[in-house]
Amino acid sequence: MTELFTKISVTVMGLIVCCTAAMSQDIKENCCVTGDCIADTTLKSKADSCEIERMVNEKYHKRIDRYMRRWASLVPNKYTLQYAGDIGMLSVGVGWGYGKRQQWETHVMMGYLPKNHTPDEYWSFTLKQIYIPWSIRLNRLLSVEPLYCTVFINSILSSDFWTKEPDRYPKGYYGFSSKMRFHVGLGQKVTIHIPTEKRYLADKFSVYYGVSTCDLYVRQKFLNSSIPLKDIICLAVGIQYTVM
Amino acid sequence: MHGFVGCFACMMLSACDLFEYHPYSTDINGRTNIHAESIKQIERQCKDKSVIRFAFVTDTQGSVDELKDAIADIRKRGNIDFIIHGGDQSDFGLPKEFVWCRDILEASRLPYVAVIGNHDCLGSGEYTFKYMYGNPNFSFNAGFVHFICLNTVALEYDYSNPVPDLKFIEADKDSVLVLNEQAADSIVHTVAVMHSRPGDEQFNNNLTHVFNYYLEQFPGAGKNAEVYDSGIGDSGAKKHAFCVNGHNHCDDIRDIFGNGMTYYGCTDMSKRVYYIFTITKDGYGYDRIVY
Repeated sequence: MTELFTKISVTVMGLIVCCTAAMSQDIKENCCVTGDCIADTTLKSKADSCEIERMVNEKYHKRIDRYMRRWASLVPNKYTLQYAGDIGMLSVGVGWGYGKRQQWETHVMMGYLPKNHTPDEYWSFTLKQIYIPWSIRLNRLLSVEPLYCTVFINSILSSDFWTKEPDRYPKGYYGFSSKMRFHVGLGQKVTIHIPTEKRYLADKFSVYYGVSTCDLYVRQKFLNSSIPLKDIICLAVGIQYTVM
Repeated sequence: MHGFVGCFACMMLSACDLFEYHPYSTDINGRTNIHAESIKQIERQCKDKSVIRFAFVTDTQGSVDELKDAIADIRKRGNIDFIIHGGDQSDFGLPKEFVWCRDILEASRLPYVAVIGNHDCLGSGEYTFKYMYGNPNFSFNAGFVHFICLNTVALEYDYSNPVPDLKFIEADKDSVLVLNEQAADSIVHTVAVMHSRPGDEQFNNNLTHVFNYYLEQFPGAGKNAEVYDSGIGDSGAKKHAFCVNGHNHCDDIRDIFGNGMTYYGCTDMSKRVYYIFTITKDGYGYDRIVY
C-alpha cells in the first residue's frame, strides 16, 4: 500500500515538473508546445495565452512601425538650388514633400547676397510653403506641374535690419520690420522621372521657375498706379532633386 | 524663324531685368553717382546768372504719383535751374523706391540733387543712397549762391557717427571764404539744405547751437548778413542766408535761433505741394506751389 502511494506520488510530481518545464520553454520560445505529457485542457489554455501575447506583440510592432515612420517623415527628401527670387542671389535648401499626391512642399533655404554696394555680403533665411494643385504625367519620363502657388517668409541675417525697432526710436516710429519680408508667388515646374535602373539616389529631377512679389512692393503699387507692374515682380529659376 | 529668335531674345532680356536677388539688394540699374554730374551741370549753367531759381520737393515716402505730377509741373515752368529733393525718397529704404524717384527726377531733364532722409537709411538704404547719389554731405555753388547740403539724421546712426559732420561744415566754410578772397563777393548768399532741422527728434540736439554757430560763418549769414525785406515771392522774405528742410510733413517756417536765419520746413509730397525759391543778389523769395 505504502509502495503504491509512493509510486503515485512520484508520477504526479513527475507530471508537475514536466509541465512546468514545458511552460517555461513555451514562454521562452514564444510558441506553443507539443508534448505527450500535457493534458488537453492545459494545452488549450496555453494556446489562448500565446494568442494574447501575439496580439500584444503585433500592436507593439505596429506602434514601433508608426513611431519609426513618423520620425522617418522628418528626413528631407527634396534638395533645391535657386537663382534670384528675392531670397538671395543663390539659395540652397532642403524640403519635404507630403500629402496624398505630394501636393504640399515645405522648404527651408539659405540665400547668399553678394556685396554689391554694401560693406558686407548678406545671408538670408527663407521658410517656403508650396501648394501644387495639379500634376500631369505626360509619359514614362516626364510630368508637369502647370501651376504651383507659394508663400514664403524671408529674413536677412544682418544687424543692419531689425524685426522690432531698436530702442533709440520713439515707440511705433516706423511701424514695420525691415528684416522680415512676406512674399507670395506662382510658378511652373517640369519633372523628369528617373527610370529605376538608372537611379542613384534621386527618383525625380525638376526644373522650375516662379514669379513673386513682397508685402512692401504690393503696398507701394497699391498706392501708386504709375509704378510699373514689372517693378514689383521678381523672377526665380531653380532645380530640385527629389529622393524617395 | 529670325523673328521668333528675336522675339525670344527680347523676352529673355526683359526677363533678365526681373531677376532680383532681394528687395534690399543694392544691385540697381541706371544712373548712379548723380551728384558729381548734377553739380557740374548746375555750376556750369548758373555761373553768370543774376537770378537763381530752384524747386524743392521733399518726403516722397511712397507718394510716387504725386512726385511725378510735381515734376511734370516743374518742367512746364521752364524757368527752374535745378531741383533739390529734401530726403525720404523712400519709405522703407528699398532700392526700388530710390529708382522710382530717380527716374521721375530724370524725366525733369533738369539737374537735381538730394539730401539723405531718415527713411532713406533703413535697411541697406544708406548704401543705396551713397551709390546712387554720392556722399550725403556735399556742397556746390550756383552762381553767387553757396549750397551746403547736409546729412542731419543723427538718430539713424544712434549718435555714433558725426552727424551733422562739423568737420565737413568747417572745411566747406573755409573753401567758400577762400573763393571770396580770390574774387571779392563771388559768393554772397548761402542756402543750407537738410532733412531734419535743429529741434527735431532726428537731429543731434546736443549740437543745435554749435550747428547754428557754424552756419553763421557762411556768406549772407550772421555778421555777414544784411537783413531787409526783398519783396520777392509770396513770403516777402529777407536778404539773409536760409535753411530748407523736410521731415516734419508740415509747413513750418521759423527763425529758430532768432538770428535772421529762417528755416523753411516744407511739407511732404502726399499734400501735393512743392516750393520754388528765387534768389537774387538783393534777396530771395519763396513760393509754395499747390498743383
